[in-house]
Amino acid sequence: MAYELNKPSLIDRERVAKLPTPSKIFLFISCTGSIEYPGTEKSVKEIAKKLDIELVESADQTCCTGYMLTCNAMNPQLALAATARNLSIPESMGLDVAAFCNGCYAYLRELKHLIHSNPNFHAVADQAMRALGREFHGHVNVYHVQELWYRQLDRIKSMVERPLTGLRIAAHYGCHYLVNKDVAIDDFNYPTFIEEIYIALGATPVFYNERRACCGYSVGRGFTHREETVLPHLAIKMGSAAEAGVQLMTTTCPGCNVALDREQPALRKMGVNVNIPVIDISQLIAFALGTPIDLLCFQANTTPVLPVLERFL
Amino acid sequence: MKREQAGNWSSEFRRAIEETGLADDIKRCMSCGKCSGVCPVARVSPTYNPRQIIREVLLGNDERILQSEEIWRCFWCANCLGNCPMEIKYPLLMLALRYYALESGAGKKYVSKLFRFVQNAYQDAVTFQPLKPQRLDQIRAMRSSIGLAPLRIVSDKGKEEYRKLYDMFGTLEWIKRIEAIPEVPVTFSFEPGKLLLDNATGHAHHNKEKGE
Repeated sequence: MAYELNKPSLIDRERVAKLPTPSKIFLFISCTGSIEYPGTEKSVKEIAKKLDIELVESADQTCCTGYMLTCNAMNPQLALAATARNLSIPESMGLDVAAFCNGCYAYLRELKHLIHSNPNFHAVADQAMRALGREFHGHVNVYHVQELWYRQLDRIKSMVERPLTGLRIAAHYGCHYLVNKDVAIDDFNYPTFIEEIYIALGATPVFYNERRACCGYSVGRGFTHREETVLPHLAIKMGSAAEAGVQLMTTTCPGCNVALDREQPALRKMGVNVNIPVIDISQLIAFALGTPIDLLCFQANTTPVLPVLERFL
Repeated sequence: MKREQAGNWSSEFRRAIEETGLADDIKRCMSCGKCSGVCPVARVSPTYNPRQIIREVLLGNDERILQSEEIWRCFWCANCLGNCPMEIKYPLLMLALRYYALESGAGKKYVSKLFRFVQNAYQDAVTFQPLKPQRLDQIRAMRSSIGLAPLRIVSDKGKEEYRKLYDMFGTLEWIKRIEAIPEVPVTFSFEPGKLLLDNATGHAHHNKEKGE
């Protein structure tokens, strides 16, 4: 059963207004995103082109190094140093950062915060920067691409070429954006800005009960506790979406996308009747804006996407 | 489990956790239990209880908590943090507790299977780049077909600097050191005491299966 809340949006309009509409920004490449769902990276680039945002990349950028840290598979010093190093690249260009993975986004922000709030961690970053002949002062702001899209939603709405009329879409927000309560543009428990994006694209948002439930994959529990906790949790989450009649789900993080998309065959084996394609919010926007479907690389998905989108072509 | 000694309970443990610089806020806990109420892991595992874990750290029995399997269950979704009136960073507490446990070999099995990703990243500065040629070809074909570089390749300069950081902070040695510690089994479980949701029906029921 889907629910509708007669509750006003809790979006922080002041924060939204303060978001930049950059003409140029540094695109932070996600490992999981570029490997598992190349269409996400492509979509970000296609939308940026339409919004006249120049994306600057650097092959010197490495993995954000947050994921394996949060899996306790490395010592924390490496991740702190790698964060300082990665952020020193856009900082030296005078650019802010846009990430399209909640992991990259949150680790960059949290580790940057730790570097500047804890003298021991600051010393680690400092030592690394000196050894590499780099400088990092922490002047760089980190944004998630979804914020940049939402900031210019009116413009996106005016550019829609494929209105998604009648498509029942549901959001998976991804925890590691919203938990940054000092900057996130929406409420932790009751966010609605993604649903506003759906409406702008002509689609019908579906509020399913487990909308704010996590993907279960964030610190490697898919490797360590898959049968014990991750799959039972996903069964509840995806089962609730299926029951609400969700036709398509979007994520804002390639890691979440892997969990929600690739685990569906296992969920079906457990008896959960679920077959919901899961794509990135940037892929959805790029599709609505008329990007040729081949460029969205939906063949990377385990749960087929075309059956629900081909009627809009 | 062997009988607990008075010496198991001390503030040393809490201080050690605070000194990691990751979780120095847990004293603020007022045991309201919101963390347990919103925890998706608690919903599917009857013995897992974030409020109780915070309590254990504050009371200071490291032996019990480090030998528990519970601290390895957290998904890191941060629902607890997002709803905590005292803004306790419970996910970072889990990170700190897991590091602490590893030093005694407890929970090693949960990290050792991930070490290879860290070791591989030493070579290419990318996490999760597949090694199987067939999968790599697949990715190359997909990425090339949409006009992206065939693979995410970090520049030689980037790789070299990244390796330098590994060497500087002894990451590969750290892995070797943890691997050399004998594995301590994580056998302890707290008492189950939860309403569980039935996966199939979505109805709540009392868990009756588990008894120690």
